[in-house]
Amino acid sequence: MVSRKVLKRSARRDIGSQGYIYILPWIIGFLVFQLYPFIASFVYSFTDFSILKPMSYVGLNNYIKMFTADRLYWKSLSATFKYVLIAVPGKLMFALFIAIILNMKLRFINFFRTVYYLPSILGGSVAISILWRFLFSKDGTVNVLLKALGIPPVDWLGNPNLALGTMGLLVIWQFGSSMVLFLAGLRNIPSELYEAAKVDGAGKVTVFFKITLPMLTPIIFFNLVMQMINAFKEFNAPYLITKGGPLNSTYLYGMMLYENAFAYLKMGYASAQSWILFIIIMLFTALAFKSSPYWTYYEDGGDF
Amino acid sequence: MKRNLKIFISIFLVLVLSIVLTACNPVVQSGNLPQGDSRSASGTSDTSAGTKTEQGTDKGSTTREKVTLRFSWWGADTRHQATLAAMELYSERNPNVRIEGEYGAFATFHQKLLTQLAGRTAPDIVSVDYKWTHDLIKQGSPFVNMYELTDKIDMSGFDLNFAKIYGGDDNYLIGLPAGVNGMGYLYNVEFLKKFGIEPHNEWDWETVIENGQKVQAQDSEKHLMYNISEHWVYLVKTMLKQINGNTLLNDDYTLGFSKEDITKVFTYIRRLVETGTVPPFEEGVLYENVYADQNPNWLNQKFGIFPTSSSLIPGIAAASDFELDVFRYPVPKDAVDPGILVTPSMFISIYEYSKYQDIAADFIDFFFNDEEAILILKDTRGVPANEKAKELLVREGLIPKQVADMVSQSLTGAGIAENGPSLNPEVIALLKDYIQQIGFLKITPEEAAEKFMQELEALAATLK
Amino acid sequence: MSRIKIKKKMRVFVSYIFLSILGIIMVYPLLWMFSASFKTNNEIFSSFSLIPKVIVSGGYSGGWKGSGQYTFGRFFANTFLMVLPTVFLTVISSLLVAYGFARFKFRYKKFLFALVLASLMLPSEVVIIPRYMLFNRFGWLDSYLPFIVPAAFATYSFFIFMLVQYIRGIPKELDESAFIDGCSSFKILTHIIVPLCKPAIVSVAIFQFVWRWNDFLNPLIYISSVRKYTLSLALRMTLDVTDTIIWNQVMAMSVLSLVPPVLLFFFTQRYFVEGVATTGLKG
Repeated sequence: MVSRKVLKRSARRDIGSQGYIYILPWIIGFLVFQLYPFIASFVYSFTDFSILKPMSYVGLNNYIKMFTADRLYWKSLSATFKYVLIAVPGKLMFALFIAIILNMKLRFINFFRTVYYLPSILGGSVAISILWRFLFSKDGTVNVLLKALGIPPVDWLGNPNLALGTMGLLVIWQFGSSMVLFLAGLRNIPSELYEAAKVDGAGKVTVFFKITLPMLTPIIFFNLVMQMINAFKEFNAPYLITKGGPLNSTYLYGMMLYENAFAYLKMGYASAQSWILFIIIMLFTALAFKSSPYWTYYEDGGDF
Repeated sequence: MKRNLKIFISIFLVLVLSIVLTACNPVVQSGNLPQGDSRSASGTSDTSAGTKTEQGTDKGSTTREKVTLRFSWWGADTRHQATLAAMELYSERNPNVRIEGEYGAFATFHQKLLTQLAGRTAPDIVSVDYKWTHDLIKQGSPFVNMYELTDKIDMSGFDLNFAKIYGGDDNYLIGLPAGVNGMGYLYNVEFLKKFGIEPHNEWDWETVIENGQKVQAQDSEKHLMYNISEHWVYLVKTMLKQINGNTLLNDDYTLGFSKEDITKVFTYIRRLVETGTVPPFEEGVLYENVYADQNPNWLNQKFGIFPTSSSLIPGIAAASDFELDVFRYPVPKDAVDPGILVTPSMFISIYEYSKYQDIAADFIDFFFNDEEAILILKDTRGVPANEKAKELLVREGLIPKQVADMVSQSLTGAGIAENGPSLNPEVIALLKDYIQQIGFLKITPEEAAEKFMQELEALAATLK
Repeated sequence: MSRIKIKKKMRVFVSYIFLSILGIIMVYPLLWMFSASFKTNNEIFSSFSLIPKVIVSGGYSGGWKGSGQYTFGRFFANTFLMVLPTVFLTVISSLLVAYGFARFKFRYKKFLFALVLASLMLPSEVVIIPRYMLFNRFGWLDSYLPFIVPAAFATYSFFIFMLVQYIRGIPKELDESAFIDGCSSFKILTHIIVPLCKPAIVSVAIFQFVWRWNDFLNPLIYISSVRKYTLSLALRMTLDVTDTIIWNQVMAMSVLSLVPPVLLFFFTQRYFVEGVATTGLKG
């Protein structure tokens, strides 16, 4: 019988090169397809690149201008933060809640799961912008329903104070992919754990908080980080529905980038703005990662 | 087994390498070659691929070798089909030439064009919107100067003075205008009748307000007209031209108006909102980026007048199930300049790096001057800017009456042209912002005037 | 009937009601699109009822014909041609790379993983021009290679991160006992990790399929021949207001283009249904 220590040593396929072989495809891909665009956009941010003309170096001008002389920058940044605070928790909570329900063995559950994933497939469909306007206009469906409850109509997308939230609804409504990930995660929880809990006489709530939730934390973490990154970069929703209005209340950072790059032909400036966004996202992601040992449980013991 | 792993990795690498090698076809040398070569790399059976690599500017009509040109435009089905048919007709007559269309929607055309220009992969013949020409020219427009092609293209039917307003200047012309668009009022006949409003060609701004109040007095849920975001901008620009005969910004990027002028305009906007002539901004802003054919309030007859460009009439008419007609845009009797916006619908240009400039020129000549082509293309690009073409279509009754009427009405009051600085997208975005603030009643016209002027001056200075 | 059974039945009943009501909200847009494929332009924009006042035929047949040069049959085929290889290669490469990150230790691992994440954080608008130039240099423009080849190299880093999370949820003891029994790391991957990660792997395939299927911005930039248009481009091809848009055709084709992703999702459900047991594995 070999001692446990020796086993561990030989079982650890570590600090060797096997890992490198497996990630080799990514390394090649990164060097060929991603490094150049990365560096290029960084270089652009210090120039006045405008797509058509040859560029000239402007040093830190773009960065300075962004923070001091761009009338919409801070508005856009704050709208984006607000949006992240609405969309990310909203999406996560809905996705988790629905995933748990859909994890039950109900009849037609396949059909229901497809229905709940449907909005994510509809994605940026042409019909969505038309439909959203319909639902939330003064005589739209939502107001008609409210009328039946005796509430006066609201300008969901016309009122600068409400437009951001309404647009957030569109994104939350597309919680499908987060939900699917939770479903996959729920399925990964070994049934023995539940059986053991039942034997011990644990109630549903205890089971949820002591077994389900902790086992799901890697996925919760993943969804949190990915949704946050995507929310910061969000471009489709404002572009499709409000084009940034009313009164720039939905002028998200992603939209500002797009306009600067392709409408105003200020690609250098847009590159600088994206690098700032990149840094912001990186900071928050790093925060999330730093916090994860405190609340995320991995089967491999957190050993990464 | 480590061996399994090694085998797998080698297979994987071989697979990948083979994909990469087939993709990096040695035919492609540099990024400067137009699309044809990359097409041969992806294995299409393009007969042109093999033969056209080394030519300089092709003397197309004299050689018998097959060539393929690319032509890009935006539009919907009718324009796509008509253009494809015209291209086919040309190929019938010139069997060695094939023209491939790259067509799609307008919304993303500009972005795509910019990317193509950056990568030097733009098509041989390109459609260019008049709003982009200034920036393109300023940045070294990579399009052939039309003035140099007068021997290859018959331009006698074109009013080159009109063309150069938006397309260049005395020395350079970016392309030839395909059509003429004019601004005017499109209205719901029944609606105006119901509210006792007289449509005629002598409206001024006070008439608008009076009639707006008339509508509101009879039905507070209805409004006289609706302005989309784009149109508010035109309203401001047109009123300014009527007040002082100037564009928003002068050619040297200084302001083209005084504080008094702009306060007048902003005050008028506020009056439009306060009198209910236009719907409250909270309600209306939802549809400010689509045209009347997608606005339920127009379709359900909640407002009667939609100020628009003549090019949009066919689409709106198709969706409206009530009778439509047009009348002239308001021009005050004491206007310094009548101010109505008349513009080319699009320019057809030849890409400077095209290898078939001569054939492209020949095709363009055919496109605009050949009678059969004209009859196929009809008015899919607006009322033709080419006089001869227009006459032919009018004779054959192929131009819808309202479109022709609006264009002629606008021509009777055509204002001075927009200049590059006034068409700058950042300038327009700034103006739109202030219009919204006024419309949402968040700011008084005087305050708005002062702040707007300050910000515009600062912005214009950076754009010089 | 025991109290417990009644309670259970009640819970099931309530769940159904809740799911159905909320489900209507989820499915309403699809229903609206479907009814819009039979409506006139006017009605599509002026009323939100699900029943057309006047039924307009020809949405599907006319829409399928497209602008006359190519039918939607071609656009469907193109989209499959672009999406299927991409999905297949994404699954394989992402799995390999994720396995590497999740189960091995090597120098600079944390830094490299940070790079994986970093590539997700830069907004795409600004990298699109350099990437375009890159693909132009390779001669891959106007083809599907800009999508397929990067997929072989796990460039879609979302999936690497995702699979890492799932793999880390599998107890390392399983790996170790298999290793003792003489399995190579690759065999561990195929015989232990993959079976336990099936739901996640299927999710990778589903997501990549749906996202590539719906991708608009990238095909817009890389594809210029109409002959090679994917569905996302074809659907927007006729949306120009200076011409007459035939909306019921656009709606009809939009509805049809939803069918493959929906079917894919519906029929891969069983991979989520299968339970996963981690004991009783013969190493």
